[in-house]
Amino acid sequence: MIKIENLSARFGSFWLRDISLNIKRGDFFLLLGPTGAGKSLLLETILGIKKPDAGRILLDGQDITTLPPEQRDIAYVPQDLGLFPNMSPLENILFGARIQKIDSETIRRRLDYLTEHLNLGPVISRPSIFTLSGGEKQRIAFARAIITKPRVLFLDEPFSALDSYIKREVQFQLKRLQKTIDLTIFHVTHDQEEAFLMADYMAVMIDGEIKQHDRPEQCYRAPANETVASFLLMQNIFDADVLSVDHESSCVTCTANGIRFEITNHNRLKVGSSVKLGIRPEEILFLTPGKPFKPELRHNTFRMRVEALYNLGSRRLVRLVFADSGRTLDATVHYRIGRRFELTEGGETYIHLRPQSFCLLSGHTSSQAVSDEHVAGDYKP
Amino acid sequence: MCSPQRRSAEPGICLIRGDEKFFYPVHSCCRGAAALVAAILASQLYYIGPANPFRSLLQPDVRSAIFLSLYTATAAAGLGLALAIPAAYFLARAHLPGKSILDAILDVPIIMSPLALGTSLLLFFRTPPGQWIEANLMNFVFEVPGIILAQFFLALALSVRVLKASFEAVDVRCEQVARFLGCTPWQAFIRVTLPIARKGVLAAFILSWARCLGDFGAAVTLAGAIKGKTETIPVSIYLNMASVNIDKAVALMLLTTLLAVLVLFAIRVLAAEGGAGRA
Repeated sequence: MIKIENLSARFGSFWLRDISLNIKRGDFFLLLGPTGAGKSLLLETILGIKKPDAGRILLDGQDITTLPPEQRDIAYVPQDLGLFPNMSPLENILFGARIQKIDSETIRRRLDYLTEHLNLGPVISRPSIFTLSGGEKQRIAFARAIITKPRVLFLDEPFSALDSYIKREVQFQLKRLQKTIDLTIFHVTHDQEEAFLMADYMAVMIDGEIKQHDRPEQCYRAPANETVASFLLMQNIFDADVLSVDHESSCVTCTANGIRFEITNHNRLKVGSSVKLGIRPEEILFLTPGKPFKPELRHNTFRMRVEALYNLGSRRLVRLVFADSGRTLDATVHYRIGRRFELTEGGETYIHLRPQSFCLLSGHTSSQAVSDEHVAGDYKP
Repeated sequence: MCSPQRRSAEPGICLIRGDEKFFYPVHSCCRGAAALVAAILASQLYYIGPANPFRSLLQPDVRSAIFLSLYTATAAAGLGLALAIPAAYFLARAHLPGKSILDAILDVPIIMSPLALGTSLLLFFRTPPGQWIEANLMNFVFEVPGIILAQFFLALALSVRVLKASFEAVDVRCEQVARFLGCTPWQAFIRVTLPIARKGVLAAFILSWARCLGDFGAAVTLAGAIKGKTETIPVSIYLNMASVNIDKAVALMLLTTLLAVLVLFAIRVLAAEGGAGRA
């Protein structure tokens, strides 16, 4: 569907470097990255608003790199939506359809469909867009873009100005509509929750480069490298050395700062090699105090000191310190679990790190990473 | 809500204890400045006496001056606007080297003395290209087209200034979205940009029309002050003052004052509604 080949562009001192992407028809593709990563620049380069220095953009096999916007048969919803302030909501929606001279029967049919699926009924007859709420403006912008039936819809952080409760509803509506009409969407955002909620496929972009391009669950469980892992809030990253490899149990023993971890070996690691290990805060399991540990927990169980507790609403972020080495480890738990384990600042607790919860980061692509299953939350020994 | 602050007599201003020492002198200066202008305008009425000040406006020579002024100002403002719209759009959107030089050159007629502008035009028609134009196309020197030409330069500069700000206020994303919805650059400009900036266009026309109506220096230098031929309202005021026809001069001054007030009111209404906006 969309194929981006070795796209490079320079904007002042900032570079988009050798970007290659492949997006399939009907996919909700999401470009995720921190502010200043170059996401919007890449989007504008793909759209033709900015000129690339090298590379090409193919749409259904056709090279559209130098094609003017009106000949690309794509639609674009910018961050500020770009609604025409001198037109009513209905005139905004019908603008593109009238320019493209779509016949009135088709327009009426599509308008009825979008009115129903984007819940436009209460707003479509308003005289001005200035009386619309943020969510209503959003839906008008989507309807205006979709009514012309573009080959691809490009969205540049369209939800960033919405309140979270309105945002979630509009996101659900767009996702449902996208699946129903099999629309290909290229969406740019810095919001991780939005990315994991909406994407079929995603790419993580940092400093003008695509660092990982994969399914969302894979990006979440097995970030390609330390940069992606840090951006996706995998705060616990260890530089470790492989001490021994047990071929029978497929387990590898590593040491980092004097701490011995046992991890699942999916990568045929060799003794003496250096690795970078990551473990997500929600993968850390707290053990019930005072109860004997089950035999399978004899490895990777540690006595920790609770350095600090932070309230994240429904969850608690617990900053732990390894009692022996002084190395810190961040864990998140549901607030009820935090209460049950009597976590208090300065107190002690026991945690267990499952061998399969670790992933390898440095020098390994996402497909090579070791994490194979995501299990979060409570765990009883 | 202003509590615990005190609301002053002026709506929208919240005075906190101690602010009066700053606010009241500033307020007095503003009222004093307005009173000075109003006093000068009111002094025109002193010379009219109890007679109907507008009776002089019905006299043929004065009516002819009014019609000539309306005609030349409308033509000059219209022509100026026609060229200013694309020029201002370019200045608002283009990011090219040398743009600031173009911008500065287009500002010159606003900054330079109208007399100097008129003299420059007069000198141009002494050069070979100017003489060729006079000989083969149209007479400008000491003719009505000369008035329009002099006023055109003033209208152009003023319109470019107003329109540039209006086009800059139009969200460039609207134009980009229009392109992706199928518009060519021309269609995007005609169907999206221009309608959004329409109040700015109207404001530019009204302002430049009023400026042309009140121009004396540039037009009189190029077209002269020929009674009954190139006699616009300002020229008529000048000629009537010179021949001690105070009634006629003051009646025309009152008319221009009235027009100025109407223009300023119209501009403020347009500004309050917003020349261009974003969604």
